Amino acid sequence: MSWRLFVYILWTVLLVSGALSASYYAWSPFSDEVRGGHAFYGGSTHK
Amino acid sequence: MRDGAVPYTTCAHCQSLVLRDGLSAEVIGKVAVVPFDVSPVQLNTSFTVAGLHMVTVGRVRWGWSAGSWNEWFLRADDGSARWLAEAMGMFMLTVERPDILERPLAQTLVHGGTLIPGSDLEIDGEGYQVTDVKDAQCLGSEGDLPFPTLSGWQMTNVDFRAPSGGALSLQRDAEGTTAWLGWWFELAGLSPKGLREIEGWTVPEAMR
Amino acid sequence: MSGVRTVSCPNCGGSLEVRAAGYSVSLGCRYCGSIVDISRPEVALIAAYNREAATFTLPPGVRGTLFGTEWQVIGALRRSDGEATWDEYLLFNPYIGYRWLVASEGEWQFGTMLLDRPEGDVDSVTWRGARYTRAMHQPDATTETVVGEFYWRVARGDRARCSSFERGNNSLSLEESDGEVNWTLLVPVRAREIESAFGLKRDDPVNKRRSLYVSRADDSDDLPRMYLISTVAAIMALVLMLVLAGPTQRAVGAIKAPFGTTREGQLIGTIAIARPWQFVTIHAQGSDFENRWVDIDYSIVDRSTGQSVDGYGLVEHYSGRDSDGAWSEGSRATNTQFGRLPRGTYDIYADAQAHAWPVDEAPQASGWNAPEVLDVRVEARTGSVPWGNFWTLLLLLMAVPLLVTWRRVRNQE
Repeated sequence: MSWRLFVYILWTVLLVSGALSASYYAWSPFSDEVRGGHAFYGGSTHK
Repeated sequence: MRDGAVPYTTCAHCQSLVLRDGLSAEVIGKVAVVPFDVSPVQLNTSFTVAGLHMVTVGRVRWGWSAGSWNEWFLRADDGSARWLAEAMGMFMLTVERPDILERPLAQTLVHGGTLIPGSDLEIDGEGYQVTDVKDAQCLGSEGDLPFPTLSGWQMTNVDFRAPSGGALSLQRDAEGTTAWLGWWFELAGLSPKGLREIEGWTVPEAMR
Repeated sequence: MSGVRTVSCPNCGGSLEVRAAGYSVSLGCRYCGSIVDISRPEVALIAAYNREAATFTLPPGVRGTLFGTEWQVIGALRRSDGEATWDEYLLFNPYIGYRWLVASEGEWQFGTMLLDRPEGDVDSVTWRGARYTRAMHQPDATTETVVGEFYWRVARGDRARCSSFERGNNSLSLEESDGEVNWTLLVPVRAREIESAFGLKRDDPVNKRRSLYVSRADDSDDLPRMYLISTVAAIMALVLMLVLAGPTQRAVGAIKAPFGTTREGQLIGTIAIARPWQFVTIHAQGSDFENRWVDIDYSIVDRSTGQSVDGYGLVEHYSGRDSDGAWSEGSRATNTQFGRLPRGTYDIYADAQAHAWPVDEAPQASGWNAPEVLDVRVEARTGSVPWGNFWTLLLLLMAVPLLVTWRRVRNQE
């Protein structure tokens, strides 16, 4: 096994554990919800 | 004076070139001091090749447009003469072979022509190929030599290499052309003794 | 007798040591990079430069014992053929002669000049009974940097065609220049040997040059493994993400979207989140309308705290005719994903308002008909899978082996 392959495996483990944690905590950068902070959305801004 | 058989010698003190003829000696010029170099070979270094023991008695330094090299004049125990040319860490040990001058390729050089790398000459079934052509000038000398090494002495040198490691050298100067046949060596292959001690380096075991 | 001759650089005045005096012809000044002619006792400037000389893994002057012999690095060259760049080091020992070390992308080769010449022709040569075939790739190499001394005239910008003949991992390199022909045998040497010979540390450039993209010998079979690992990891991640998503529960409702006003607080239904955290996706499907759009504001309200998590959905559809013919645009269905919803029971409300396009006016109530209202069917579902996360994961996993493959294909061209 080369040094490069080893680093790649670490990278894979990092990504997969990140994805699984995100699933456990139900977090996604693509979620559409609005909470607290900027909850006042000003209503619809469409067209 | 190390070698009685050769007529020219350089006086180490005053750099005069002395020509001996019988019992008389004549100063015929000045010789340039050989420039500093890190050659492991020096005067009185001895070599043993194929059972024959030889000693350096003189040296000529030749320079060309992009470099320079040493040629050591050796006197063997059997009385014969040898030349040891030294360049880029490689050595050519050769003995005179006037018969090779009869060859057509050598004749071209003898009659003033030029040779180019890649030309072939066959000797004893081996293909000798030109690997080096240089016009050189004498930069200085020391010790005893068979020709006058006055500053500016010009010479054209052609080296050949064979697949067996065989070496051939043709040299043309004002006095004519000579042919020298022998072998290529690394220093270790010459079984040297009496090498120069250079500061910062140790002489390898096998060469002491 | 001292082995070193000291000279001054004619350009910058720097003090330089000449270690192979009498043999060396050119010297690259390590301070300013100028090329100096040292073939004669008087030192002459060949080419003046005024910049820092490059750093080499083996700077001229370092000594090391390689294969039982002590060598001193006296010269270093950096050469390039337009794609790859490599370093050539000239080693010297006055009692042995010269040798070469070539360093190319972390791979090292040891070079020795031949005493006996190879025989051959255009396509192959024979040397000491072994046949060497001409290498496919015979690039033109340009000398970029010169530091230290050399036994021939070296200049920055020199171009030479590299002729080489290969046999297994060894190669014979032919150089023709200045009325001379020289052959050199190059054999691979492990980087470890160089490191221990010259006392280099592990994190020196010898290893840094092992770039992530270029691989040789023992690296060449790790690419298929990378693809395998990324595939296995993606499948595993997918399965686990499906499991972690949790049980699915649905609440379905129909809401009405009036024009000119928002109908608020329409209850869709109630859902329970069973796991510590879950995603909820709300799918809205509009009825068959045209040139209308509907704003929907969702509120997912936690029964125990009264706190609400909000979101927005939009269904729209437009059509018409123009000079190119009929066109239509928009989607009557939309999904809104909510994350980070903790365990609990939630009521889902929606506020909706319909709009007309291009002019946002309530359509005229005509006679006995009630004002127009759009119907939207809404379904809230717990336990949805965050697909965005999965595709991102896959992209990042595959990026590395794909990049390596791309670089390899490019290098082969």
